[in-house]
Formats: sequence, C-alpha cells, structure tokens
Amino acid sequence: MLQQAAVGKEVALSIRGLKVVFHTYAGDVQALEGVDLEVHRGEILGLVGESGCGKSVTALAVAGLLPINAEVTAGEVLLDGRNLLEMNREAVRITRLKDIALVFQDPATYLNPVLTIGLQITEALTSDLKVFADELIAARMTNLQTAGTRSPEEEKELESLRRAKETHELNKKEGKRLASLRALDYLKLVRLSEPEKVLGMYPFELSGGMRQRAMIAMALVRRPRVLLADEITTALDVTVQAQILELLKDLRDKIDSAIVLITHDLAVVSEVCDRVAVMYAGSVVEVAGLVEFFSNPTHPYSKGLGASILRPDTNTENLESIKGSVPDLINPPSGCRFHPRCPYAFQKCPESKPPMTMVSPGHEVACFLYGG
Amino acid sequence: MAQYSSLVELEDLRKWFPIRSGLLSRTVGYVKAVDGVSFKITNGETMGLVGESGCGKTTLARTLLRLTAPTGGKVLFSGKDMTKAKGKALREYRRMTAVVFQDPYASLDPRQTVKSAITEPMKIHHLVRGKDEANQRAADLIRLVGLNPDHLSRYPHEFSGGQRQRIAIARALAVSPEFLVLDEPTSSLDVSVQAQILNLLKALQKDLKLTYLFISHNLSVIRYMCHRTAVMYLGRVVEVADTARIYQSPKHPYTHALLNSAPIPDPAKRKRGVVIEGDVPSPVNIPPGCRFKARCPYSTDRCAKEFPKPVQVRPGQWVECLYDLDLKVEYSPGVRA
Repeated sequence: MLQQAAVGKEVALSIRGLKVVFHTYAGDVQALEGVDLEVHRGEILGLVGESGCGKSVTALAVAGLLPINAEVTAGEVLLDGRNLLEMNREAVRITRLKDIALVFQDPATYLNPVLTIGLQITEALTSDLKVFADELIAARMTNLQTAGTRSPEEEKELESLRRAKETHELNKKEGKRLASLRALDYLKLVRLSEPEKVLGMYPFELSGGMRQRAMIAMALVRRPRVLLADEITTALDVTVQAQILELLKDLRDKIDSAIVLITHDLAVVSEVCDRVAVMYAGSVVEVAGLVEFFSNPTHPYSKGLGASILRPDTNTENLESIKGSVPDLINPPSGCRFHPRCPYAFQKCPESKPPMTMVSPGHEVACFLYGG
Repeated sequence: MAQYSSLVELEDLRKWFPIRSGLLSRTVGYVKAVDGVSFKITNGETMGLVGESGCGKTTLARTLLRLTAPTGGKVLFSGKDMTKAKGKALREYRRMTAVVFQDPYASLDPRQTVKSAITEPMKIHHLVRGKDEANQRAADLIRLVGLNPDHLSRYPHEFSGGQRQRIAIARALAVSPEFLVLDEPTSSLDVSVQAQILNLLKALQKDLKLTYLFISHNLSVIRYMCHRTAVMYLGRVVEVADTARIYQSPKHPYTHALLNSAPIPDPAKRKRGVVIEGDVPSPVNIPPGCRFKARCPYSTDRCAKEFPKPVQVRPGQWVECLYDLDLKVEYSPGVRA
C-alpha cells in the first residue's frame, strides 16, 4: 500500500477494498465501493465528503454496527493485522469493547437519559471485568504509587491491589470502585468542571458541550486503539467547538490513539488533522497530508470543495459551487462516479474506475488526469 | 421613500417566558430570552444576527415577526407600530414578511405537494384569482429558485436537503414579501449545496429588492452574506456594526472571542490560544452588571456592578462594554486567498 510507505508511523487500522451494500425496497444501494484507508497511531485523520458519501457507513462497518439491511460484500478491516470481519463473535465483542470507540454527532440522542453519567462511563469497564481487570488495577496502582505520601488505608489498598494483580481478578464491588475512580480521571482529562458532581448527574443536567465531553470520556476510558469521531462538533457552537477540537489534539498526544475525525467541515479539518482523506459516492478519491491537501488539492472534487468553502478571515466576492448533486447510489454513474459533475471529464472517465495513483509521497488521487 | 430609510426598527424589544411552578402555577421567575434589543434594518440590506445557541436569536426573530407576542418594547415596520397590530393590519404585516427555517426536513409538510405548499400562502392572502393564475405563479417561483416546474407535483421526500431549502424559499417568496427572516438557512446543508443556496439568496435579494435578517452561528457565512452584523449574547445585542468593521476591529470581548474561535480552512493559519471557556449561562436570574463578565478575560469588579449601556464607539458601531478595549483578531484581515 502506498499510504503506508509514506508515513513512518505504525498502522493501527487498515481498511482494504471495503464494499457495503444496503438492501432496500427501492433496490440495492451501493454505499461503499471499495474503500481503502489507513490510520496510524497518534494521528488524526480527517475523513471528509458530502452527506451520503459513505463516511459514516465506513465508521459503522469498522465498529460492526451496520444496520440489519446492510451487507459487507467484500474487503477487510484490519486492526493490528487481524481482520475484524472474519473473527468469531466473541473475539469481535472483546475487540469492540477494548479497542474501538465511537463518538457520534448528537450526544443527546446517544446518552441514556435515565442513567447517570458515571454509570454510563463505567458500564463498559465493569460489564466484563476479565477484560479490564489488569488495566484497572495497574492504573490505580500507578496513581497510588505516584501520589507521594500515602495514608495507612492507601497502603492497605496498595497491598490488596498487588495481590489482585497476581490473580488477575477483581470482585464486582472492587471493580466498580476502581472503574469510578478511572471515570473520574477521564472526566478530568476532558476538562469537565466539578467531575465528582458530574458522575452523579443525568444527561439532561448537562449542556451540549458538557454532554459531548462526557461522550468522549466514555469512549476514551477504555483507551481504545481507534477512536471514530463522527461529526462530533457539528451540533456545537464555535466557542465550544474550539474547546473540543483543542481537547482532541491534546488526547492524540496523550493517549496515542488513532483518531478518525469524520466531518464535512474543511475548516475543522485544517485546525486539528494530520492527514485528510476525501470520500465521494462510496470511495476514497484523494488522500494527502494536511498542508499538501490545502495547498495542492488534486482531485476535481477536492478542488470544488475547496472553492465552495467560506472563510471567516477574508472577504469572498463570488462563491463557487459544485454543479449538480450527490448521485443516486442505487444506479450509480459508471466508471468514475464523479464524472457527471466533473468539469474535466473526458472519454475515459465513464468507462472505468480510476485507480489510486501517487502524486507525491503520501499524496494519492483516484483520477485519470494523473495517470492510471 | 429614500433607499436608506429603515424598514424594520426594534425599540427595546423584550420577550420573557414565565417559569411557573407549584400547585397554583405561580410565576416564580422569567427566562429573559430577549431582553431589550434595539436596532434598525435598512431597506435592501442584509442584517446578520450571530451568537451561540440559546442566546435568543430565534426568539428575537419570532417576536419580530409577531409569531409570539412581545413582553415589551416596539416593532416598527415601515414606520408603523406592529407590536399590537390586530386583524387586517396584522394580516398585511404577515404578507410583507416571511421566514425560511433551518431544517427543510421539518418545515415542509410531508403530505403536501410542492405546488400546494407554494400556492397555499397566495390563496390565504388572496393574491391570485383562480387556479390557473396560482399555478402559473407557482411555476414562475419554482423556476426562480432554480428548480423545474415538473417538480411541482412531487412531495418533499422526493427531494434532497438543498432542493427542499429551495422549495422553502419559493414558498416564502409566494406572498411577494419585502422582508425575509432567514433562520440558519444553510446550517443543515453540505458546503457545496450551501454555496448554491447562498448565491441564490444573494441573487434574489438583488432582483426582488428584498431585505433580509440573516441568522447564523457560522461566522464565515455571515461575512459573505451580510452588510451589517449584530452580535447577540444572553438576550441582548452586545455589538452592532458594518460587517467589515466587526471582522476587522471588534470592540466587544465576546465578538472577539467568537472570531477567534472560528476555524479557518487554512493549515498555515492554524491558530489558537484565546479560547473562551464555558457555555452560555442560563437566561434565568441573570445577575446584575455585564452579562458576559463570567467568561470575559478582561472583566473587573466594575463589570459586576455596572450595567454597560450601548455606546457608539465609531459611526455606526454600537458596543455594550464599559471599557474601550483594543482587541486584535488573530488573523490578518482583508487578505485574499
């Protein structure tokens, strides 16, 4: 894979040739048409495109949360080299529990209104203590050991934790206690004020920004290898958005997870991402480093996107827009799916699908104008 | 009628929602959603209204349109007081004003064809004689917003978000209004579609000589669309000025904070630093003094005691701040990409 060669970092998640079809009464929707994507540890990859281009479907397929009428017809989703699509149910469950986390756009919908924030954050940790026992014990021990002076009770606790560490087991009560302590740490990490109080609060008592922070804490508390953030700032105000984006950068550096930031806002991408992948009608059409993408967008669709964004820091006299609209994916256009809207389309475009071609190291594009 | 006369004038407009509690539903307090707003909108201009969610932007628009009754203050339209208008006068006001809402999925009736949605307001206001004239006007309007007359017999679910917003605009224009409130008309749309709709709105304004109140929380969109901009915080307009002036030299610390929070689509200008903390406080029991003091990096003891009156700092720039602060936005203004 070309993308891998360009960046030296370890690949955490790799999607290869992923095809997803939705069976509907109107016909089969070809939602993903061979998606290739790689995400490295400690980076934020921006996944951009218009609504309906398959950004969210890609995330759902990785997390194994596709709706019942969806079918993965081809491809692989590799997490640390293991194909999630071929694992047995139990292995997938453990992987999802431990290594993959999703945060959605609207925290009001995804939080359970009748459970406290504390319970919702610790639920994942305590639902299967075998999976998290070692980690919970280790985290608490480190906290105690680095605290400096310890009270006699804390010495006692440390001793019992040492014993638990050898047996790799925690009883339910102990597990819950350690999980709450860890939840508290993560509420602090996402910079919620008065975290002790928030643990006992219900979602309706929090503002939109606070809920989104709680959702992020919930996702991070498991220290996932991959965090899929689907439009997490779209519903928020600019001031709160700025806070959440700052937080995301901070977390990338502290936790070293691979973060996929799904958004349609290129301004958000430019603020936090390290690399950009552009999707159009079910496939990735361009991948590039952030600066390269903004200075040298190559795919005609990326160029169109760039021309249709407004900036807060400059006056725009005439705003350009991409003609037409997103194609119908039940009967998608032949060949390159962008060709009916593309100002540069020529004879070859409707005939076959352009392969990914390297423009420069780390910069690839699927367009016949650049070979292929 | 001079070109620069003001079409809409708000004088100390207030909308308080009572909070009732207890067995007898006694009023225990008020949510002061709009609390003393005054500004004018000139004929033919686009006035921007920007602020965080919950600051009262939509309530202000609804009160202005008389969709809810104001608690106090005045709304003047072409110099006539509309605050207490009833019957014929109110109906006439409703014909001269129209609104386009944020979510075109919610604002169109799913069981009504496009034709029916567009012709209904004409019929209510007796603007057309007979079916043929109504259909003719509907066809004209649908072409005006860039759709095809064939679309008239279809239902909203057959359209994409951008197309639905075009239909909502056609419906708003059906009564030939002079004044249009655009409440976040593009925030649920993709960028490429947003560009199409914004350009359509600009063209319509020029051709039909419309006046807009453009509500948005997107500062880039406001900059593109609006001649003047009002910044709202917790029920009050804290700064009004020409859009260019606001973006180059804001005078209120809140305006400044908003501008500094707006993401810029340019990695070379990745910035940060001054990010204001916290959310908009609740508009119940607003403490005395300046409303922004809790989040303001420049606040002093004086801010907690004194209520800042609107001051004209430059011609046409009104600010509600006790201090004449020298604020710089961290991007170079006016530079073209």
